Amino acid sequence: MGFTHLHVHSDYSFLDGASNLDALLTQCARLEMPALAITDHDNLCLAVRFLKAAKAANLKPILGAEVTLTGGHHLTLLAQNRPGYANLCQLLSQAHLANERGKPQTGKPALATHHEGLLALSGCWRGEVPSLILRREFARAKEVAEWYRDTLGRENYFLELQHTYRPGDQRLNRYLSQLAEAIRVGIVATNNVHYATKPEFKAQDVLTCIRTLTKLAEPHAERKINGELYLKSPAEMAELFAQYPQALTNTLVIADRCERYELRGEGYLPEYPLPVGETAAGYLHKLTYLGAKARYGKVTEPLRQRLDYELSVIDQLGFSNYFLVVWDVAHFARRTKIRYAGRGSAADSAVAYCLYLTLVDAFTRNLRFERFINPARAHALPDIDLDFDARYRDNVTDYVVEKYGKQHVATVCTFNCYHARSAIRDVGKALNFPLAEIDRFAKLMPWIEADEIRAALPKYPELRDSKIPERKFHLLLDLCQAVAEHPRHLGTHLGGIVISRLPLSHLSPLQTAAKGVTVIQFDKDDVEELRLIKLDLLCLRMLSAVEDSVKSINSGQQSAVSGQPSDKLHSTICTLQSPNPPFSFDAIPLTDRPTYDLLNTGETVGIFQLESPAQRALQSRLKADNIEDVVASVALIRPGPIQGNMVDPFLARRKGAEPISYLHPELESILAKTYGVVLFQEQVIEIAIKIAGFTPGEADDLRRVMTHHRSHRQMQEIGENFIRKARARGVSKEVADTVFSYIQSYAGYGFCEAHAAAFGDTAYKTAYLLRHHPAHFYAALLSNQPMGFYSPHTLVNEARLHGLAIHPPEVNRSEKAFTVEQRSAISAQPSADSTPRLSHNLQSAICNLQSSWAIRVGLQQVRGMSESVLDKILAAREDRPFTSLPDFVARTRISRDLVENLLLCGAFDALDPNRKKLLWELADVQPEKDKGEARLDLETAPQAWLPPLEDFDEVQRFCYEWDLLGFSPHKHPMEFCRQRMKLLGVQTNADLKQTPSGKQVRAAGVLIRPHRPPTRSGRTVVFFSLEDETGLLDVTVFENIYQKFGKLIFSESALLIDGRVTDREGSRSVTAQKISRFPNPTVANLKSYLRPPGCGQPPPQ
Amino acid sequence: MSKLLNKPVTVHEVAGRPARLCVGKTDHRLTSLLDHWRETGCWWEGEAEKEFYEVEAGGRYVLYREGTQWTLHTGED
Repeated sequence: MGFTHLHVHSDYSFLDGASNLDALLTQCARLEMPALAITDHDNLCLAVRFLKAAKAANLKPILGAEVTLTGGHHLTLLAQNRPGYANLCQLLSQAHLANERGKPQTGKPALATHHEGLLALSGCWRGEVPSLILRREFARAKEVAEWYRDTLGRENYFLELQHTYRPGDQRLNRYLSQLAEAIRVGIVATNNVHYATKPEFKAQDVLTCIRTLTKLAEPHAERKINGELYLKSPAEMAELFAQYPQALTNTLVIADRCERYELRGEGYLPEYPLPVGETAAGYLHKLTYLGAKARYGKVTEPLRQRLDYELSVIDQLGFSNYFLVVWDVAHFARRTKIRYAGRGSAADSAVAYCLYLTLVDAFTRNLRFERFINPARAHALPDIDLDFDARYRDNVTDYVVEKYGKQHVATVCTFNCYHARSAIRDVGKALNFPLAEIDRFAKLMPWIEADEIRAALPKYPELRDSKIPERKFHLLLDLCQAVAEHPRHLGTHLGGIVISRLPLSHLSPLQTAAKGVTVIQFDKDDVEELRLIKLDLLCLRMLSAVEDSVKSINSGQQSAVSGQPSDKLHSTICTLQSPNPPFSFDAIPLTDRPTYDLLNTGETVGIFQLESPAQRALQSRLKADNIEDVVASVALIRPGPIQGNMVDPFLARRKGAEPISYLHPELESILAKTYGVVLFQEQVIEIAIKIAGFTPGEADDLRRVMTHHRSHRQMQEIGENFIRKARARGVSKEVADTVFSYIQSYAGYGFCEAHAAAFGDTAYKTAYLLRHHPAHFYAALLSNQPMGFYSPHTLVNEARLHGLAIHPPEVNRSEKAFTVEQRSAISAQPSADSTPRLSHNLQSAICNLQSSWAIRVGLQQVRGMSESVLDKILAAREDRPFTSLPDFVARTRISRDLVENLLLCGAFDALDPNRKKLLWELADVQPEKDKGEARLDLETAPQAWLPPLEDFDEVQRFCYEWDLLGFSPHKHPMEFCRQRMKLLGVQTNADLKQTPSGKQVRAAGVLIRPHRPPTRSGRTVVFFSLEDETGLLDVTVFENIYQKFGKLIFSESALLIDGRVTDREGSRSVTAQKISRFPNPTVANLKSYLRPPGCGQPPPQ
Repeated sequence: MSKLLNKPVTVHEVAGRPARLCVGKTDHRLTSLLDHWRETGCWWEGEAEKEFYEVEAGGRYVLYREGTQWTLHTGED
């Protein structure tokens, strides 16, 4: 007898189902089952992929869900047809949106309204009817069952029998069968499947422990007592339900009644509200030419041809509405002065440039439109990504929601799946491992999959010595493997939103994400599959930093406030002349020689996309002198070109050290700008068109196919097609073979030139800011953390090296954010070391100019500060400056913990430089921790009775500052031990960079960003930087040294290195030969600093 | 009243199911199979799956099989 499983949980029953879709379908195929239902808990996350995969597997898919009813009971619902699916989506949407996040409940009134097209099964033991029977409330069970029968229809409601070898199963099934006969409804057999095969019950048990925060050794009601909930064969089910053959037959009847349907539909494409009398294509044409006139002045014939071609393709493919929707969003940003920039392949479009969606002139750069929209792939929707000033991106999203309606706009979700670190943490807790050890082990883990941990252990020395008993350790690894890639929870896409003409709740359940936004239960791949319009509205903190820099430069004052555009500026110091005309980031010339000089020094910390160690090294070697060089450098430092050995040939040919030759004359015009090296995806398209005669659409198809992983056989087929076509155009076999090998070695990586150009433009312009306005730029970078490659302490150090002083936070002078001040006239306290510690590579003229500037640390940098507390402080200060600590406490009424933090990091130094004394005073003024209540008798000066107190010493002050700010405004930690370092033979980083190549040296410093990128050889090479008061030094650790000393690299905060200086065309680094622990505890313990004893104690009576 | 026994017991099987069991010196024929379930136990400690039967055989008993070994889990006084 046949059988269909109608109650099945995939791994998208988060932390309950233990098998993925592939495993379930494979088992189904093995058991020769023709249909399968997926009924995950309160969601349809797998719907799109299930329909697609089932079609490929020639299996009938049945979409459903096990819904949680009000009161906590379960009910299994199957969508019989497309209207039934829409009803299920609406039920689940209401269940999620009307209740606390994570606790969806479907009410019976909603079920009564939205039952059309749904089949209901009474559920597992948590079903309402079975649970009443188990409580022996038989009359009530009958009543409830009759309600379902009458509401849903007799033929649409079935009592669900399960035999999973639980005590009482058989008794319950007897009662259910009798009840079914009494009220004349059908019975159906299910197995409450939670995994594909029996051995996976262990993974399911662990996932249940994780979900219920239970240890494996602890019982819990939700843990299953056995491993019987697997996809059983028809024969096994027949044996279990031998007494109830009708229950088995009904599974086939139900499967037969469920129709096949599609989720895709044209009704979801949004329509832009057009002005009266306009068509979408016509309006887009109008806007494009308006923009073209603004961009170019005169619309030449070649430009017209390009624009008309793009507009005709856009119109033919039905994308005009989409472009108008995106234009409208960008137009809103421009109107409301929210900084934005388009990225990605949209920058290949001249229309996008004229619509002010992107900053890249695709026409002048002769970029291929087909890379963005391929006429041969009409089913693929275009994807336009916009980066916004991170602070205002949500304003843009709100605009879209308001314009199109809440029912029609939702954020795309993501599925956060288990990787090595998260698996170790969760499984380790379930296994009751010591938390500290689990945390340590997880932090050491590289970014690998959970099923790669075992293979990683011998490879990564820092993973040895786990201190976990071996037997338990093996169990941990086995279970991590078992949960690998299972979705842990549903998250929110960074910026993807879908806009639909029809209500989204007809297509996907909606729910509220942790961030408070409404999400659909589909991710970006599902959205693409369904051809839904998705806009990526992304946050880019660099745009926030740019905006703040520009405001600061133009303010005419020396303070800049990072906040809402309408905030007024607070000025406490002398006024400088405003720049005239106002400084414009967008108008920065691309030919500024000093900017290229700066880039060529490699001192590029803070510059967008160009600050990583690899980029800094490249800039020194590249010696860029035009914007194309910058664009190329953005594309060069990526795993692909590095592994494909493109970097060195590019640099050598650019310098003329290696000849450039072109196998075919057509290649010159394509590859000249990249010195004969294939660097951009658009070049692959061009080569296919010009050498092999592909149409633009076919060429983009080739590019797509080649940039996804392909088998050797598939690549061979692609190659044969290319060569055949090339030869048909008269190209010799030898030349065709070689040309194909160029683009074949490119396969698997590759950057879109338009994207590189978009990023390169911003990279160059931020370099301009750093060169000409470093104080404003660094202040803005520090105000918009976290961002970029480096921590605030590195940015602060770099700012000092640029000749800028860092002024500590001060309650009477600091704003929320970092601000720019004149260096000389500010602090009452002794100023920071007035001699800039300069990198030898910086022009002294720059230093002299900048040495009069300072950056004032913002109050937001102090640990524990919140927006509301900052508002209180600034509001209180608006009346008059604070005169003393008691005055501050009385007028701000913020918690004592925060006041302590402020005074310990020096924010009261200008009022009284003795921080220890202030601490004692605080204990008297504000005795209760966490309360903003000051003592009533503030008239009595508490310090009157205090004995003279010696302040904290320099090291203690430094440690507090580091702990509370993430850096010290006054000193770099290495300065404390410079004398000792000298005795140990350690040179400063600045000196090391002047040391001849090949020399044996000793270096030391704070450890910055150790990482293991993929390498050409496949061997492990670790890169990190050491930071001291003179700057950064890059260190390379090859595999043999890594295996010996690797444990230190990923666990220490500072290191001592013995190695050899290497020089690559001006880029200096050290190749490590020996790595040791740092000898100075202050620096070595930066990560785990503890307060000295006695702090925060009440004064003696 | 049922009490916890947890002692080995000899069970005669028919088609993999208990048919007779020896309690004390008496051989009892099963008159009724009341319930049948499975438990995986502490699998993380290496414990094997147990198959439980609640039976009437001259009294009410719960016995389980672990591999080929039968154990009388609970029984009446």
